[in-house]
Amino acid sequence: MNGDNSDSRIKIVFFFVILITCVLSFKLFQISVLSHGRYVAMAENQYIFTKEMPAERGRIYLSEKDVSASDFNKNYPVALNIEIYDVNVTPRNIRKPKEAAAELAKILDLNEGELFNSINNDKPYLPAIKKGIEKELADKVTDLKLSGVFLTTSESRIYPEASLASQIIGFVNSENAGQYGIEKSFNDTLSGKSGTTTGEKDTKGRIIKQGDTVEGQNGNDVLLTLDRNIQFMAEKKLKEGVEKYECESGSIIVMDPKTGAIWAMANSPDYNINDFSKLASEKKEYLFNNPSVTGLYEPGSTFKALIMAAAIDKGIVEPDTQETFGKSVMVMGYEISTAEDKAFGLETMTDVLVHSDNVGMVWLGDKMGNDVIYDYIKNFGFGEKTNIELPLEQGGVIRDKAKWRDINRATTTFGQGVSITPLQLISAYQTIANGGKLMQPYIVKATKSPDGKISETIPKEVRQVISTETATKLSAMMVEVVERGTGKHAKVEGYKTAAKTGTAQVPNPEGGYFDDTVKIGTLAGYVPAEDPKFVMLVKLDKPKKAEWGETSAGPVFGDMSKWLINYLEMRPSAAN
Amino acid sequence: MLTNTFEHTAYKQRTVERGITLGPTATKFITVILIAVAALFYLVQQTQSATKNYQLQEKKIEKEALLKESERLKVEAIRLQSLDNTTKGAENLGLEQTNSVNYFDAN
Repeated sequence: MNGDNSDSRIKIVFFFVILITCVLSFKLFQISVLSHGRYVAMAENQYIFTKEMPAERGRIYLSEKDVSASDFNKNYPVALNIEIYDVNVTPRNIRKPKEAAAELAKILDLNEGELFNSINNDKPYLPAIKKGIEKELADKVTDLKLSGVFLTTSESRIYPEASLASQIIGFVNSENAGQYGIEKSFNDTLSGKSGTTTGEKDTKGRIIKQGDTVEGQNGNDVLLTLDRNIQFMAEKKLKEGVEKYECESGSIIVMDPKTGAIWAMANSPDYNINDFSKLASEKKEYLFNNPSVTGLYEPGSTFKALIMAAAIDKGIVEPDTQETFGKSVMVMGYEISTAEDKAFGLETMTDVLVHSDNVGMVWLGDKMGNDVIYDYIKNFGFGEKTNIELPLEQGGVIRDKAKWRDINRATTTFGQGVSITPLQLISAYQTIANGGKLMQPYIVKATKSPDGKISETIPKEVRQVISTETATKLSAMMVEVVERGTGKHAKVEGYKTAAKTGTAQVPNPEGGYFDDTVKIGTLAGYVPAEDPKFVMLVKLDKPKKAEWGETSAGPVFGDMSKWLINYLEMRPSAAN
Repeated sequence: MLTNTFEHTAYKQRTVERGITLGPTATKFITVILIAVAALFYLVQQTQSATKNYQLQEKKIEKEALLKESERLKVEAIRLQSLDNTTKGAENLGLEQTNSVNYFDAN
């Protein structure tokens, strides 16, 4: 009996041993074979890391005087990257919250009481208590050696010149995407491509082995044609003009007449690029736009020089063609008067420009006809974008010539009923300054890839709009405008300035125009007339302390010209 | 004759009886020792390799930090060269703007 019991117990134990062995074997099989991949992945997750290596965004440079594009990095960077730090806190790990709050609040300029309340608890996570601090401050936080306080880093874009050329440069948003200006239009060029790196880390998260690396590519650098000093001075003179004449806003553009390169594009008001998010929260996004390419307006009398150029180029008149004009003329029942409401009598075409005579221009328009005027306006580049490398550019509005009535033709001759941008107007004046050749305006001088390859922009001729002979005649006529006409405030002693003023009425969205107190004063021209070294446009919007363009934009043009003459080291014009 | 026999015997005994023979226990012991030594050698190598990796990584981090610091200082220099800073500096120094420039004719 005992022997039987003993055998059966052994069998039972043996059975359980076999059963447990089978269960364990099955489990082992399940883990090591069936779920092999999953457990390997889990293990790898614990010690293998993959880290994204973001590409460094390219810099934006302004040109320095006499520094060529091949010496790319000798120019001045106006958009570049720095490392910034966020201060993070894990409340449950802070040993002495009271002392920690006091020390952190002092360094980070925070409210001590509020900080203490937020960190005096057992929470495992808290949003960063301070974002975007720079290294100097971050080092002070690190030196405190507080438990539960740590820093995280990220790249940030900074703009060391703050408001200089702000509406041309633009900015990047929190996702590092370009917004406005060159940051937007050259976003792909500046961004580059991110890379990745893999490796192994230990239990404390320290990297012990670097593995495969997929190399990223940093963004290209962009060099603008804007000359840092000219841009700075244009902004300074513009601000002074806007303040002096109590204007709502204004613009100055300076261009190289030979190439179409923009040397300065100043607008007022502007903004500090480093404060863009604050301005956005204050609903002041309108400051981000660049009115030199987005702002449409009626050019007024500055348009007369272009119509005159077309008439001379077509052989319809010559500078000394004479005619007698009254103080007003009737067109389709509308009375068009001279700006000063007086008759100039017998005038040459040069006199028509010198006096900025509306009546003389209406007569000229009548002789030219719709087709000639329209074709030349289009050839000067109005009614279509210049295709400068800036976002949101407007092409302006030139009414279809099939719909022109006599009154449309008449008002067009003195710059009413057409809407243009300041950039289009200076391009048209550049055409005259450049012997009749319209150049494509451009603002990017070169780009440079991370491997050092430099691609320079080649100036592009758009078309020959007027003959060189006509351009020379126009220059002489516009010199007269400055010497004895409306442009005398633009004159710089010893230098021949060719320019034309304009005092344009501002269209009322409800129809017609605002009253005579709401005007835009413009002066466009170039120096020296015989071999222009720069072409410039000054536009002052709604000045309260000056009635005419000649008395608001004129002095600013003259002041800026004087500075440019010194800066560009220009020799005086030869005396006649 | 007797001498020769003795010499011959003595020679034979020295070569055969004093030779090293390994029994099964000794073989196992030596094998274990060799494996242990190999394992130890492997461990030392691995440890040294890991230590070198740490050191290399630390040097890389140090290099990155120095490069970042260098970059930061360059940025700081750029900031100090901004025109806003320069003009303020000129004002603080009491410098005056050039208002007119006269050129002499070289001829």
